[in-house]
Amino acid sequence: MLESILFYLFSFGVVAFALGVVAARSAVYGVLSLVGAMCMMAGLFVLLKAYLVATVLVLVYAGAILVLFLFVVMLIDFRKLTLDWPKLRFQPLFAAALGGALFFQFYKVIGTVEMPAGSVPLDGTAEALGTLLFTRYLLPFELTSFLILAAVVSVVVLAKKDAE
Amino acid sequence: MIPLHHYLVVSALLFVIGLFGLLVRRNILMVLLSMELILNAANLSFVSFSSFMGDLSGQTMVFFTMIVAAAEVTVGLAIVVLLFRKKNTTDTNDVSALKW
Repeated sequence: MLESILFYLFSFGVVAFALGVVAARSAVYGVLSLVGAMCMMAGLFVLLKAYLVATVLVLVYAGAILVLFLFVVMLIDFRKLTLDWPKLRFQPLFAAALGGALFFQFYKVIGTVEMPAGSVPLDGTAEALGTLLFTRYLLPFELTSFLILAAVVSVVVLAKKDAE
Repeated sequence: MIPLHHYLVVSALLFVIGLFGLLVRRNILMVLLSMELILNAANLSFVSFSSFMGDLSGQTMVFFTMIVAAAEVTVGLAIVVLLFRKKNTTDTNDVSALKW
């Protein structure tokens, strides 16, 4: 019973904050809305017993990545950002139709998914996930360090002032 | 216990909302934010399947998604800052040099 209440609360929160992101009039509100959505989603992850993922989502995603976002929004003079709703004509209608059709398809596909029977949810603790990450998924885990290195180098090259 | 389908419907809703934002918003920062929403919809699917199948592999996949999202956001934001410095705009309609 409590689980149902929490689930619907968190789901409503996620969807409401996501709508807030899309409808935000300023990028600052959009980022703050996304932080809210992340926190609600962490709640959903806790309901699914994925404790480590929920913690990392709040600490790293909401705490670090979105703060970086906020820094950049503040760096850019956000008074010059246009409020982009009035200029659009038929694009929202097209996007809503496409989204609706896609959601209908998702809904149909989800209806055909069978509940896996007889499996108990494992606790996604740091120990269990860490063991898996450093045994079966060691190679992809190490390869991500190359990805991050590439991102760091490219950002430094992009962001430094021109020499001329 | 909440059925798996409920989580998947929430995930689908998040994906569709993110797609709508991606198509409609013309501010490049908002486009990046919508992309984050889409990535997190995928994360929710991964975690719910992982939990209901009793296999933690899906949750490790979420870490990889997060790493990709972090790399994507840093590079994307660097491009946004550069764009703003050169062209003084963050509107995607004003950036059409590569448009066919």
